[in-house]
Amino acid sequence: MAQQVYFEDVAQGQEIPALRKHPTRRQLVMWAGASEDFYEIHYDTEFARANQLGDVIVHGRLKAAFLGQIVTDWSSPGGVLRKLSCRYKGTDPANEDMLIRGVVTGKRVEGVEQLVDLEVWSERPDGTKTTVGAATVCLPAKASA
Amino acid sequence: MSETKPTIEDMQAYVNVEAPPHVLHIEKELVRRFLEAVQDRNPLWTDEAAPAGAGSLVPPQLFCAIMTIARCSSETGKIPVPVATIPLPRRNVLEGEETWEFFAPVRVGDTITSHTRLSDVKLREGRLGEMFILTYVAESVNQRGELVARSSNTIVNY
Repeated sequence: MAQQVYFEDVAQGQEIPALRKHPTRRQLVMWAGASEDFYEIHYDTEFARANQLGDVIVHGRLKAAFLGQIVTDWSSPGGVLRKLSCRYKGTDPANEDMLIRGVVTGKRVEGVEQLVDLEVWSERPDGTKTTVGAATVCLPAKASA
Repeated sequence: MSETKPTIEDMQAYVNVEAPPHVLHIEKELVRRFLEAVQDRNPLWTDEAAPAGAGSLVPPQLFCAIMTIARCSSETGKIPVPVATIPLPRRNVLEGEETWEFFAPVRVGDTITSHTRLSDVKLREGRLGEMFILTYVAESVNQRGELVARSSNTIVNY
């Protein structure tokens, strides 16, 4: 497991370790079962085409879960995710590499909490950002460790 | 779906109307399925002794993303709708944007009650024709009445 990242170690502009995903149609079906989102555009090609889509697409909320995961992978075990927002700009086909990335946009102290803000997003192999978001995580400080 | 399509006025009548709450008992199996679907193998979520767990497992915060959605039963039709009792004016849905704020951990064993309401309705012309922009807000509380999460979800319905 990675070492705990502390508030003092973080700098604005710093990129956090990327997360590699490859959501297969099987994974979309697993997400459908876990979330009870059984909308057919996520596993039925004919249905997706009849809905003006090229083929089945990755669930938006699964991508949101990936954006949460990149932050918690980086900040755990001591960090706590406080906020995540995202905009679903583009669709992603199944069975394609997806890169989840994040960059620190700022850090601040609010009361007794050390908060770090990040920009997080998902990327298709050609670099198109399909989901863009922002996250806030509370990190432990070395001083109190 | 009725023969006359709902208008923006029809939809605006649902704004801020209280809907039946969505109740979810957080079982370990539900969390396991979430973790497998996301392929999140962080030991923090499965280690009973982890500090955040304090004896009961805590799923990742984005588990909240599956707590508020209405069940995709025959009752709600094919599309997962945020509020089962509020119809969608058009047939197709694309996700627009979403925000979650996390106030307290959700733990395995909790019973989470989510209250979701339609907060805003807009009508817009887009590349897919006439589109409804629907925003829902939800608050989830645990069995002790503590607010665990607040979310806002905007969908495009065309």
